[in-house]
Amino acid sequence: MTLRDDVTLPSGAHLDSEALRGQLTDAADFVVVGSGAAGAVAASTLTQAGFRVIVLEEGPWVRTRDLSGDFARSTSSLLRGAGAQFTFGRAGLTLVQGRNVGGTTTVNSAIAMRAPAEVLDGWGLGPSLDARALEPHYQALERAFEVRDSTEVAGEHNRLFERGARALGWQAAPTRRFASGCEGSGACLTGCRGGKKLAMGVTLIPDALRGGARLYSSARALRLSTAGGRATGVVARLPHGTLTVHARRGVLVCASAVQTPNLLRRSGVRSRWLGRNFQCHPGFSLAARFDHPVRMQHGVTQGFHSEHLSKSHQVKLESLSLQPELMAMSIPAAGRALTAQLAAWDELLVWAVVLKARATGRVVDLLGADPVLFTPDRVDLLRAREGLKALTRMMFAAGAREVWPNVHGLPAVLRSADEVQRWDDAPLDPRAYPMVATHLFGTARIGRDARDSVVGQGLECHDLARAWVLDSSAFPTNLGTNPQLTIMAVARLAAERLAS
Amino acid sequence: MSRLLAGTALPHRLPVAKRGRGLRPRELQWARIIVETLFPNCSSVDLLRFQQFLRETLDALPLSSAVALRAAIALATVAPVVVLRPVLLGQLNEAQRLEVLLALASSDAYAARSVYALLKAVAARACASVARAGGRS
Repeated sequence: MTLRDDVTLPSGAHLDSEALRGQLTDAADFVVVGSGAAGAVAASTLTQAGFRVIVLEEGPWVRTRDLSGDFARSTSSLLRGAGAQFTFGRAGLTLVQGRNVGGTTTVNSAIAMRAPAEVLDGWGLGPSLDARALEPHYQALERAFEVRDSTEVAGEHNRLFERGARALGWQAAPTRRFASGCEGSGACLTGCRGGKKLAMGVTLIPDALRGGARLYSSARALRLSTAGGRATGVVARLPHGTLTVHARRGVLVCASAVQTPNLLRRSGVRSRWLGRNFQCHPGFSLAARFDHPVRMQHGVTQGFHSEHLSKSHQVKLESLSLQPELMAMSIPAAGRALTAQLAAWDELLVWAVVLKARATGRVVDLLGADPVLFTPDRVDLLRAREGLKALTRMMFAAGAREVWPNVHGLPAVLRSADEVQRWDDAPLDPRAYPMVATHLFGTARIGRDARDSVVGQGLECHDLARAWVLDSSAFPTNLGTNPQLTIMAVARLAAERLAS
Repeated sequence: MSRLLAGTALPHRLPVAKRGRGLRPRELQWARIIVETLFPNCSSVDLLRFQQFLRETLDALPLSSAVALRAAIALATVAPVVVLRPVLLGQLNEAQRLEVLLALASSDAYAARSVYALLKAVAARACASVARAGGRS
C-alpha cells in the first residue's frame, strides 16, 4: 500500500468545496461522512465492490507537498479547533482530533496495534463482532499496509526507552506502524512530509477515488436526510453553498466519537444513549534531560512501548517525540531559564503514559457545538500516577540526569531514582495533571438491544434504517491500545457485509 | 497607553491589521509583553508577523478557546495587582513580570494555572512560528 496523494486522479474525483458555489446536488449508492480511518476503509471497500460512493470530509485536503512542518500552521490546517479544543469537567483535557482528508491518521504516530482479544470478546457481541470475527480483517489490513516496526530508524530516544525498560527487567517492544520507508523524521504529529506514513489521505482515499469514488473536501455534513424512517442522503454545508447528496443504499457515518452523535441527533435519532458513554485514553507526558544528545526529532515519533503495566494498571508506556512548541509546556521554567533549557534541546526527551480510563463522559449538543464532558476518576488517576512513576524509574535507569514531573504539588525536578517515591505524594486530583484526550470511543454504542445502545450488531442505527455508524463511536468500550487498526478492521468488516 | 508600555521595547503604535477575531491594539501589546517575558529570545521578532499569527490563531480557535485566550491575556496583565502591587504587567521590569507569571504557574488555584498554561502554549507557538516565518523570508 504505497499510493501517494500526488497520483493522477480521474477528473471530478475530488471536488474542493471552496471552489463550489450555490445549491448543489449529487447522488451515489453510499454516502460516507468522514475520511479518517473508518471512512476511508469503508469508501475503498465499497468502491472495490462496485458501488458508487461519495465521501464528505469537513476538513481540507492538505497534500503531502503542502505540509509545512510548522507546528502552528499544521495544527491550524490539520486539527479541529487548531488543536485547542478542551473537554469540560473538573479539569480540561486537550482534545485532539484530525480534521482533514485522512482525519486523525494524518497527524497520529501511525501505530498499528490490535485490540486485546479479551476487550473485544468482553463486548459480548458474539460472532458479529468478536476477536475471531475481526481476525481476517486485521490480517488483511496488516498485509495490505505491510505493517511493521521501524527499529532501523528508531533514534536514540526510542533506544533509551528500550534500554530503560530492559534495565528494570520490564517488557518493551518495538511498535508496529503504518509506514513504508520511514525516514525517522520525528514529525508524525505535524503530518509526514516525506509521505512515508501511510495515512488515509495518501492511501485508501486516493485508492477509492481512482476506483470511481468522489470526494468533497471542506464539506460539513449538517444532517442526514430521511424518509419513512430511512436515511436517504446527507445535507452538507459548503463554504459558499450547500450540497445535498442522495444515497440510494444508505449513509455510513464515520465522523468520530465527538461529531457522530450530534450528527445523528440532528438527523432525528433519539436514542437516550446517543452522546453518552464517551470514553477515551487520557495521555500524560513526562520529560527528562540527559547528559548526552538524545535528539528527540531524529527517529520514529513513537517507536517503542511497554505493556509492563497494561494488565495491572491499564496503562501503556510509550516513547514519544514532540516539537519544541509542545515540549516547552513540559519544561518547568519560563523566561531566560526556559530559553536555556531549550538551548539544550538535543538532550531533552519526553515519554508518555496512555491510560485506559474507567471514567465515562458525554457529548452534548450546544448551539451546534459538540462539547465533551469528561473527568477521569480517582482510580484512573491512581493508575496514571503509577504509570508516571514507572516512566520515571525507566528514565533514571536509562541514564536521565533530571526528570520533570510537571504535576502541581510535586517538585519541579527529580534528580535521582531515590526520588521516585515522591510520586506517591502526587495529588489524586485531575486538575494537577496536564492531560491530552486521544482515542475517543463509545458515544453511539453497539448493542443487541435498542434500550441500551444506539446501533445494532450490524452497526445500523436502531432508530434510523440505512444509517450505519462505522467509527469508534460504536465501540462499547475503550480498547487500551491505539485504535486505528481496530477502527479500520471494524469498518472493513461492516463494509464487506454491506457489500455482500 | 504609554504607561502600559513602560519597561518594554515595543513601539507605541501598532500597524493596523485586517480585523477578524484579531486582538485590539491594546490587547496585542499585552500579548506581546507576555510572550517576551516567557520567551525573551522572541523579542526581536517581526511585529507584523506576530500580529498576523495571533489573528490567524484566534480565527482558527473554537469560540470558547478564543474567548479563554483573550481572557487569559487580560487576567495576566492585571495579575500584578494581586501578586505584587497595583500596576499592570507592562509596567514591571522583566524579572518582576516573570515573577508574576510564575506565581500564576505555581498557584493553588486551577484557574490561575490554566491561564499560565494557555499563555505559555500560545507564546511557544507564536515564538516558533514567527521565528520560522522570519527565517523563510
